[in-house]
Amino acid sequence: MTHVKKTDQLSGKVILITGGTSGLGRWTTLVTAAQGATVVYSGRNAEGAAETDRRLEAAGLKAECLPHDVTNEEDWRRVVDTVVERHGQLDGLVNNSGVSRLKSMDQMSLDDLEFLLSVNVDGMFLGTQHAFRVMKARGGSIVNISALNALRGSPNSTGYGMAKAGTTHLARAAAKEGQRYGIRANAVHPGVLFEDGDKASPGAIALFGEEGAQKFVQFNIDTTPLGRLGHPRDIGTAVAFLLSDAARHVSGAAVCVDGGRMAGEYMHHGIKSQK
Amino acid sequence: MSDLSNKVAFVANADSAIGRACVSSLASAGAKVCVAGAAAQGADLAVDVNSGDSDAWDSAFNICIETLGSLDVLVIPTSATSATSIEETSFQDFVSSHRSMAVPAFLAQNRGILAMRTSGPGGAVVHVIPAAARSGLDGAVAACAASAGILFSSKSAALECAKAKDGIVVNAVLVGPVAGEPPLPYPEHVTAVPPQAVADAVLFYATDGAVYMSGMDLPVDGGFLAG
Repeated sequence: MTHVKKTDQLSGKVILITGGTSGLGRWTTLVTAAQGATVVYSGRNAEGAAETDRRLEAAGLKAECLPHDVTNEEDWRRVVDTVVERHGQLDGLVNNSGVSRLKSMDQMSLDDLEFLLSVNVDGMFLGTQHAFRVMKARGGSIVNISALNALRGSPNSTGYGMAKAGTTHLARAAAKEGQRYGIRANAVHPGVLFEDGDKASPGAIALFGEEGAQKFVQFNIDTTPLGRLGHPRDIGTAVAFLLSDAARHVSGAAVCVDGGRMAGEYMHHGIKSQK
Repeated sequence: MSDLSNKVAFVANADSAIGRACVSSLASAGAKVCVAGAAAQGADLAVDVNSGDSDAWDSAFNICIETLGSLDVLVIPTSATSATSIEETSFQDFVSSHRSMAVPAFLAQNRGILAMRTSGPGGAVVHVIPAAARSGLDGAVAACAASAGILFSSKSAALECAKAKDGIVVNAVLVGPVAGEPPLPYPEHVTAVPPQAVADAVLFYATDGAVYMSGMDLPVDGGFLAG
């Protein structure tokens, strides 16, 4: 089901969202479009784009899709220039495209690390740089989608955590440097998300097997204070706020939309009970 | 525009610059508003609270629920009441800044959550706290301590509400210098934020958009806390 609340919070804004062809990027596309923005989303997966378009249409919304490899600088130049040529400006960039590869310290190779850094860090760095290029004249808002792994250590996420910490810090640095141009930058840290009830995602099933994946889901519910997984729409709503003028003095923030996981020691209780 | 129609909001310390801006934003979003303080413009009800008295808070929340029918949003803005160095701050000064900053915020939060639980499912508590809660300031030993105390009490309350499954989320907005609020010794380059921008962030937390956030602190400080 595609339920998004229509408002005019982002009307008049032109927003680019990377990775709008799946999951969180798709929902952020839906939410920002429903809030009145002119939305361009990008990605590499044509089937995913078709599904995003289908959901948009079902909700009576529109957004344009551009093919985009976020690790390629020429692609960034083309995508950002295309947005500005067609819509006259770029007010918001959501650096959403990211990849995860969970491996233990002894299993993780340098290739794995480089893969994680290239999409999660290089991609967001290039995006920030090209957004600055066109936002300097009239300001703008950049939102990096990070992860809780950026803010705390967790097993099997050495490379992922390092990369996501980079995206959080990139937002802080861009916030400081962007201040003189009226460019804001923030990072959003989602909790564990679901789209389809509390069922395990195909990705988790591939990693842990059917039974292991369901245990993984239950573990994440047990270690989330609010007692439920998050919906990508909840994250999209926070991203939309950060893109909007309501957040005009919010910059350099590490925003957690995580069901309270980062509020305190709660998740450690869960980890203990898991042993 | 955020929609808070059918919701009742209570604004503590409503005579402060931030409090007044919150009252006007909450009312514009459709909420019925009860204030602790003189009747701020746009409020439906004003109650008088001796802010260090637990019973007085209970009675204020009861009047709000009896008169306006519910308690869904509780905004607790804390204004700095001292900005003094170690040398200038006597023990009595330290205690008195806790009494004027932390104690009312604790009581409003704790008694407010208990009242909220009686008035129906869910609710949002939003603290507005000086960014001194997360950054030392040269010359504000007592205000920093009190601010940090409120912030971490809010995180503790967030976990407790989550465990109780009462549907109440507790969050904080951390503010740098705000026009019209008592000053703290922020570095000179940190620019002041208008109270309305703070109220906009409060409104974000108060609406259904932030249902999956609890125990979170959002800086509205123009990037001060980023480094």
